[in-house]
Amino acid sequence: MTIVSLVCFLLISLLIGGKAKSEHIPIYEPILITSAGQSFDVFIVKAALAGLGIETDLIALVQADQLEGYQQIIYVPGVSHKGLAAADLNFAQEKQRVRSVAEKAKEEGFVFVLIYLESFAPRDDRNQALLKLLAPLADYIVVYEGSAGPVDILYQIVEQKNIPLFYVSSIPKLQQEFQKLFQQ
Amino acid sequence: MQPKNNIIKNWLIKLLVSNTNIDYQKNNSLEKTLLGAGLIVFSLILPRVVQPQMFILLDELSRSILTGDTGLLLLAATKLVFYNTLRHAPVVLGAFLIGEGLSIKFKYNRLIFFASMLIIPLTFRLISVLYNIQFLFTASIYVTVAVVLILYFLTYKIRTAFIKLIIIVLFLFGFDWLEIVPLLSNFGYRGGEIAQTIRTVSSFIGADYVLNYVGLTISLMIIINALIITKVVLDYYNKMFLISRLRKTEIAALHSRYFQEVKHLVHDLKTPLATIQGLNGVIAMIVKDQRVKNHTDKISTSVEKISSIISEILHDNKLSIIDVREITDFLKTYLSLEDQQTKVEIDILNENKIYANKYLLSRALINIIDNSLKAIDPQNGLVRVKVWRENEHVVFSIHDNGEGIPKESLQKIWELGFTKVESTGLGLNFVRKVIDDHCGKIKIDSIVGVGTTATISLPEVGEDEQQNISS
Repeated sequence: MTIVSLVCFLLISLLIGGKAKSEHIPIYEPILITSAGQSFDVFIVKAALAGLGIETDLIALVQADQLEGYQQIIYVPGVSHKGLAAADLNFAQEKQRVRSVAEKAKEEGFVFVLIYLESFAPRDDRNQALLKLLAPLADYIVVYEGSAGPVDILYQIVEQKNIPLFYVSSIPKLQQEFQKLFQQ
Repeated sequence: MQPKNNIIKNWLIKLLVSNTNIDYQKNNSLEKTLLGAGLIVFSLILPRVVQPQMFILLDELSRSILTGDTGLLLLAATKLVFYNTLRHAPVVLGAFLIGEGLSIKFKYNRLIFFASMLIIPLTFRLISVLYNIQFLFTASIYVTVAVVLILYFLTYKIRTAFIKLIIIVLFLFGFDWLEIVPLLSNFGYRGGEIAQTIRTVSSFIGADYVLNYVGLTISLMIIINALIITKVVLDYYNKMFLISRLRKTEIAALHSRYFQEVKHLVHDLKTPLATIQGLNGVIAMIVKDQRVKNHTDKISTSVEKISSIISEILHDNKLSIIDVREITDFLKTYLSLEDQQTKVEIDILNENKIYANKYLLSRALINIIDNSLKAIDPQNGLVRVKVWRENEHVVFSIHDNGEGIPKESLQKIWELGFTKVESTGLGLNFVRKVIDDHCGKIKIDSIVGVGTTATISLPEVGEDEQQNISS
């Protein structure tokens, strides 16, 4: 029994270690794209992936019971006051929704991708709170180099959890950069 | 009584379509401050009423991302600019009006600057806190406020609040367009959350060139238009100011010439009067008939009275101690001549003495009584003249039950040339000058449909003064 446990641990360690050194993000279509904070970045990610021919479903306000049929989730965090107001949500409600969906997705073994493009409101503590919540659950993290947001917290979590981290350097060339990252 | 909506309407007309009258400006500091405060309150309520989703702006923005449609992005950008101007205008205008009101009140022009620089960021902050939104007072707003503030000083002569409001809103609109120009984001012109998102989307869908071109062109067009309107309105105001000054000069010249002519005529009367007085004396000496002597005595008394009047006209700055009854007697003489005695009641409650030029003061009172007689109903109208003593002053009150004077006209009645009937428009201006020369005060209260009361207060000559003079 002890030997079996040891073998399993080694296998899992190998798998995780392998993921950490990954140069690509796998794709399991259809991918669910959702927002954390209701910023417009989620539409940009959706449009960039669509340009690559990757089939995605964008449900900005997805609930935990809507995950059926998906194996992969892409979270695009970024707090938008206008977006939250349009969705008639306050930040606490949004955070609660994000938490429940993310935890459910993790439980069900989804491939969890976090794409952070936010370059607005760098001092917004709410963005930091969302990153603290989502980053530890992520299998892959993509960060925009020009991001002025609380990226330090991302780097700390990436280091602690050994999560593969990718950079994109240009929003206009996002599609081309995604092409290099996502492996079909 | 005026209906309430009429009072509000008149107040708004007075405030929005105000004139170049300097006295009016002095008096409306409270109104400007209140209107400014009202606009600030409106700006605080506005985010609850108008939200971007009402403009379908967010939806168009998301669709423009997904479809890569530059037209949709441009539409969303245009709506954002309208939305921003709608939010910024009441804050900026409110702050300027409060500043202007305070600067008039405390006679310190720089208060506009300090008040604006304090109230505008505070209001932005308050809105952010109240609605838990990022209503950012960005660098671009600082630049805009600074530029508009300079323009505000340039347009200081523009007294019509409505025109000023349009000009400032136009400038704000022009500057708000700059917030969506991607080219300017490197120069601190970043704007709020949606403006930033629009620029990010523009960069993503490759619409930077279009947004730069359209944003700069429209902004430039609006700012140039606003500058042209400012120039035209300023030229118009300068011309109106010159015309008004010219008219005042003309009236003053007319006024002066008129009185000079009267003085010459009156002076010319002295020679025939001296002849009448001399010959009357000769007749009195020659004739023995007592009845004729009585007549010559009366002629002599009348000529002396006329001489006294002439003397007062020629030396209009000369004041002497007279009894108020002498004034009212003069009024009665005038009224009997004009056959108006039945419509005028004169009531003397106290008999006192005042320093006065009898002729000029009587003419001033007759001027007011004349106006009252013109205002009353020919059948049932009544003019009441009352004289009484109050706080070492003699008060003349002339009240009529005529049609009254509207509030907006009440502020202009003292202006040279102002008249509601066919006349020179010199009347009340002359009255005020006479009362001022007598160290007195005059005020006119009127209610439309009820009547008008003119109250003149003149310093009383105390008993001590009378004794000193007689001793």
